[in-house]
Amino acid sequence: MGLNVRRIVISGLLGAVAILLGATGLGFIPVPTPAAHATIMHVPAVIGGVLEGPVVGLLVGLIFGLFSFLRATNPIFADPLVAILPRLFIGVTSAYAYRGLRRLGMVPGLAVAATVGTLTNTVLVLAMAVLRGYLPAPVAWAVGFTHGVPEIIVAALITVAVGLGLARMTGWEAKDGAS
Amino acid sequence: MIFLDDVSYRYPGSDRLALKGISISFPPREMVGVVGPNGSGKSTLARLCNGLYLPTSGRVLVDGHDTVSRQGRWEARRRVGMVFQNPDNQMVATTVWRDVAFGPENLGWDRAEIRRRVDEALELVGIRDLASAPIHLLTPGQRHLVALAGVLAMKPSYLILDEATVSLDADTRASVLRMLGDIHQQRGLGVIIITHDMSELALADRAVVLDAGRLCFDGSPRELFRKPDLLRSAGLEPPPLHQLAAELRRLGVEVPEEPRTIEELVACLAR
Amino acid sequence: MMMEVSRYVTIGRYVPGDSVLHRLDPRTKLLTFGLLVSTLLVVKGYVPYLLLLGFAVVLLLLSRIPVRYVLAGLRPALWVLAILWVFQIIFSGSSYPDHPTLFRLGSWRATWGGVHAGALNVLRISVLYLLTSLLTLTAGLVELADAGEMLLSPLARLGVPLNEVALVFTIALRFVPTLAEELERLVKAQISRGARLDEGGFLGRARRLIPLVVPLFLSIFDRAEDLILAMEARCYRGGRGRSKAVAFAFQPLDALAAVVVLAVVAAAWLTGLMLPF
Ligand SMILES: Nc1ncnc2c1ncn2[C@@H]1O[C@H](COP(=O)(O)OP(=O)(O)O)[C@@H](O)[C@H]1O
Ligand SMILES: [Mg+2]
Repeated sequence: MGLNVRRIVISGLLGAVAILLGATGLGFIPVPTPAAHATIMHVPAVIGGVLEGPVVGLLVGLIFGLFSFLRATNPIFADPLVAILPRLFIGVTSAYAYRGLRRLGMVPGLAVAATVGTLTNTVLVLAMAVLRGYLPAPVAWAVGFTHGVPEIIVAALITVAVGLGLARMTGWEAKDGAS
Repeated sequence: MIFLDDVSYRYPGSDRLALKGISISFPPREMVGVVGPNGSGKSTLARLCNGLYLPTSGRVLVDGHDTVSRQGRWEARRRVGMVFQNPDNQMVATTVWRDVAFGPENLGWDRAEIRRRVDEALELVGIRDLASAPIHLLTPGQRHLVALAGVLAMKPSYLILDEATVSLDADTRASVLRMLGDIHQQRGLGVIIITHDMSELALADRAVVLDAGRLCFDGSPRELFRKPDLLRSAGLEPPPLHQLAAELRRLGVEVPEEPRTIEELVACLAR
Repeated sequence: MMMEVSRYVTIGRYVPGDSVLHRLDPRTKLLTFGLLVSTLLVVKGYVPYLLLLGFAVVLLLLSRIPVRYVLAGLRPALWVLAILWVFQIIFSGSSYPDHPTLFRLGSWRATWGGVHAGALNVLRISVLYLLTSLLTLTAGLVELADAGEMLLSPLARLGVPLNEVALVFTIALRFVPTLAEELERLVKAQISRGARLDEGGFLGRARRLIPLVVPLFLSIFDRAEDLILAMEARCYRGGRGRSKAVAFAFQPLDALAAVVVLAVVAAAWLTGLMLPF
């Protein structure tokens, strides 16, 4: 499944960033809902997927999910089907979105990939919460909207900035892209 | 013996050679100091010695194994241990013991052997009592010792320190160097110290100077210190101790031309 | 808000001890945890949930971890759970069309079905919370990663790179404190430029987040280059052919634990399937 040293190392380091964002509270941005904050903890998974492909995206998402399960900040994440399962897909959908769209240019590609990754997180988590009976559907819609929009904006900003920075530092996209 | 035969190296994507036609050998059980200004190719040379990089032209043989083949590279890696500058970026485990065990695990040794070698290496660098300590609570000096132990546990025949001591304070650096000297002597470990600190060079049996990817000196440190022009053209200064001795001699004080330690110099002055 | 983060960023909450729970083989901890959690996810009903809650409380007492410490973590969650319960009652009409109406709120219809579903949720989440707390308080995360790798080892034969994945976890845990130090430097640099990090609404916070988070992300790619070289220099060449420096050993205690947990799980399944509540 192609886990070479590079992918192992990048997955581990991005996983560490995801944990750090959660553990310091830096990953949380206050929004007025019962959950009380939007999160950027999923952004490492997005970046992993975009830069190193779906396997890295999956592993970073797994670390994010496990952390959010073991240190549930919101009680519904005490249920692993809500906390872990949806997170596995964040980096994967971002990776394929970026692969499909990078010919539009790096910045739009990155922004769309971040949007897709964020929507994957928001939609799957809320769908799972509804499916598992923790949230009534109308509440999920409201939460999804109040969280989804700010999360998409911040995630896209960060992903684009990181992609541009990396392209300047290492010539990333010119060299090997997400292949 | 590590043997580089007319080795040149070009980084992928770069349009010039980082190393140009280097031929050099490092026999076993020797302590060699490699100096040169920043960007002269010291790290590149080191990474060619254990097959992290493959020569663009020429050959690298480690105890007869050519690093160009997969198997040869593996043999070279096992024989040539390497410690890098920032210990934080070379440790993979959360505790000292587990990190030192990383290399032995990669070599596929059985558990009893790993345990023995890891304990031995920790003992050797004097941090046995830190075995179960979490890495992030260690001082920078202790982290360096962990990185060193991690390599020594693999029982290499050669050890390359790529500016591994530059970020240490003077005392810690001196004690690390003394310890390395002991290990070198007791175990017959070949040591290659890459540095831009000339006083580290004074401890070596042999000095090598690189400048702009070329080998421009290979001889004894004493000989090198007698060539201040060569040193300065490579952007280096003779060690302060030698400058001091030269200055004293110019003033007519009887001191040896190449004192090895400050104590030696002080002893002369006291007489 | 987060000066000196690195000093107290703890990801694991492991509290060393020598209770019966602490002494179990990490594989036993992980396996029994998995059994109990999956039971909670599938089975539904007051009797099985109360049974599991009782069991979790017994485990908590056995672990000799201060009960107040664990409950303190549960308290804020209970508030959110209470709010969710209210929502569940209010919006339950469409899920239970044949249940009698408790009260109406606009076009929404509250039912007893919602009351029960919400109560079961509170119970389930509470037990899950207790179980994860017990696991992470009595076992180190690296230890659990090792245990997971060993338990899943049959998958390795099918080509799943378990050893590599366990290494990914270890590297993540290893670098949290290091990156916390890095973040601390970035935060101090921002503060010295006069930035106030924990003030302002969404847009303000988002704007101040970028100069912290983006350099943090970029810094890991430098580290990655170093770490890759260092690992290869230490003869890393993938999981194949690697040995493991640590081993665990099952004790009679582990067998006892397995039997007890299996009995509890079986009782939960049976009561869950056979009793109507
Ligand atoms: N990854 C790289 N890509 C391109 N050029 C490099 C790279 N690393 C080093 N170089 C170049 O190779 C030369 C030698 O570098 P290096 O071996 O690191 O020198 P030293 O260790 O003596 O400071 C320098 O000119 C440097 O700019
Ligand atoms: Mg260098």
